[in-house]
Amino acid sequence: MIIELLYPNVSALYGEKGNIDYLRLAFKDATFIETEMNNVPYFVNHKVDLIFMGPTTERFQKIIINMLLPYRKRIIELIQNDCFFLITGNALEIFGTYIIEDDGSKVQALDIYSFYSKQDLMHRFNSYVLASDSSIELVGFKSQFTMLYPINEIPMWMKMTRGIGFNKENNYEGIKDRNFYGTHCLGPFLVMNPLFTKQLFLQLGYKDSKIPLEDDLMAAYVQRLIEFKDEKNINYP
Amino acid sequence: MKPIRFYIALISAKLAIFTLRRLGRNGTHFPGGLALRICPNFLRYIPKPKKLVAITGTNGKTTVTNLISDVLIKANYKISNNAMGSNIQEGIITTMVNATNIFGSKTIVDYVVLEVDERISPKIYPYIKPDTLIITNLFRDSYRRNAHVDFIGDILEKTIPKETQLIVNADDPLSSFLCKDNKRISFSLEPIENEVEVKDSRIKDLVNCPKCNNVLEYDFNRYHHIGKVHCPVCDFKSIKADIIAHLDVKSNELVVNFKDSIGRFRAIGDNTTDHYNLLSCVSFLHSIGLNLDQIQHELNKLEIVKSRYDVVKIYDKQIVIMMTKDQNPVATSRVFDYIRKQNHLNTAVILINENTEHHTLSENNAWYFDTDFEYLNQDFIKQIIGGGQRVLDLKIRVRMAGIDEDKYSYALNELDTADCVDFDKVDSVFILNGTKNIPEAKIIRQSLINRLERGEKV
Repeated sequence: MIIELLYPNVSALYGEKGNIDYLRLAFKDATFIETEMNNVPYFVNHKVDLIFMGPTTERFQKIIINMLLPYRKRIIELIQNDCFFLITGNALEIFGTYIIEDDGSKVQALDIYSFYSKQDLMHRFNSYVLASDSSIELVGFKSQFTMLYPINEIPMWMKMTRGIGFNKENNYEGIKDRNFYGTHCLGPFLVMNPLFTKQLFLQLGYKDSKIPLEDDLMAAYVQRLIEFKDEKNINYP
Repeated sequence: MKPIRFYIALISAKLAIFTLRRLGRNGTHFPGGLALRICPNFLRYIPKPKKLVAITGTNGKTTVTNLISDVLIKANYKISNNAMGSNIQEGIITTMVNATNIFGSKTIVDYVVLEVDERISPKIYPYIKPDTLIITNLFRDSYRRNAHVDFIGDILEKTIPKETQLIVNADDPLSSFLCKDNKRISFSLEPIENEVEVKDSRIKDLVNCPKCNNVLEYDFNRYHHIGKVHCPVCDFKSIKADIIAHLDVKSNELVVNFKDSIGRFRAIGDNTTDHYNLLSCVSFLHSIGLNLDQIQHELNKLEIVKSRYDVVKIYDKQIVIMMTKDQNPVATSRVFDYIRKQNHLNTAVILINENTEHHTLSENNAWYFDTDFEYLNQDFIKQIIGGGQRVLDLKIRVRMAGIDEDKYSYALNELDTADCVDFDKVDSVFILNGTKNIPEAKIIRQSLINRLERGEKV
């Protein structure tokens, strides 16, 4: 099994190392490829099973778009061929159509999914995420400078119960397309969502009956569900 | 011509300060907030102080502000500062009100010493321009407020006045490059005798070259992105420091080479971050022409404030309270690094440094995964005790750091963590509190002392 971590030096802000560590803990025999800036991604010329990329700075977001644009067709091909993607935070915006920067300028993105992102650096949008994907409840945190706006129809992922979705008026969050999972949630999403993670790992060929530290993950997950459902718990100011 | 509301705001704030002091309260936030509500652009009209030094940066602001203030006071300067209070707009306004006469016509102090939260810079520097700005360092901080270092760096770059002289840490390749056209004094701490480079930090806020994006090479990596760095591809490299210091380990003094003289200053703590804080302070005091003997004399009497590091010895045990800023992975990792080097005593670590925020906010646990919990995976650390709402998240992080499950225990009420300490196993207890639960840390310490005095072990 091959897992490619795209630009982990710059695109693992906000606790994403928790996801990476957890993948390493679960898939001890897997080969992890860490693709550095300025290097050709491994997926361009090789088969990979999972591609992971997390949030980055606004400056590196533009640089990464330019680095990935030459491989846009290959990325689409990988998605069509059921390669797994886990894309978190503002890395999701890279797969949209374009980004409108704080000064109004427009940055062309990979245009794989039909939405745009609009930056507002004067406002940081912070939110809990309590959402559902079929029968599974998902939890997370969002802290971002952008709101996302669908242009045409896109395969949205989770239905929000609490918190901000694509934008303040949209009740959905993230993209789920075949095995592409993209969410604007930050931090150790896999660690925080053991039910989702177990499903994902089983699809990836995980063999054990329990995922690593499953009981502890479940205890924290249940506790967080209670907190997020409690109206007394204020959402972020 | 100043608007009438400015004078109303000034007098109201002064009255509020007077009343709060009569009630025995610090009152550093409320008076400024009151002035701000009455006159939203209050800072525009406040008289500018004769001399203003501001201190900003992710970590060390409060310590440096305290050190500078203490020395200036002892050197008979009349000062106003916010060392005991808020470092955002309200606290800064209160400090400026204290520095101004009742008529709002002139300042009544020689120096204003301001600790300024980096994020708040756009609301401060357009109106009150520091003569000198000390930038202690830049690291990632609260994710929901400060985002990332590029964001904070951009804010500082855009708002620091061009005429302000900077004092920067040359060992921080992020903050030392800010506002490159400003006049600056830079300092550096040479590798300490037997210092081991910390190359295992989980996060580095500067990995790739800001000019060409290639991976930087460290000539010396003190911790995180702190050290001496160069790009193997382009000409980017750490700046050459104006002031170079080294630690004389035997005398525990920082030997500071200024261009024109050499000073020796007793170290204020044994953490490298303490040395950097001291260097920030002496670089500034030297820059304003204070006599080196005088600086040495005054500084030698000071210690870091007890809210940051406070040790009590009772019988054969020690209890240490350390500030471990919540939501700040680098500050917390620095404390963990310090603890792992205190390996002569069997130790328990009590972690209550989550941001409890009225106990009505479910706090983002992402920062745990940027924090070096692996440093606590030591044989001599016998217990790790979590306290508060996030104890289950903490347990996961502790276990992912490879620490034995048996070493971890917790109490949902942070005050009950004292009951988890097993004095049969440990001789040293570190209580790591955040910025908002210093009183709770003291209560826990007292509970531990009470247990020891009663002769309880477990």
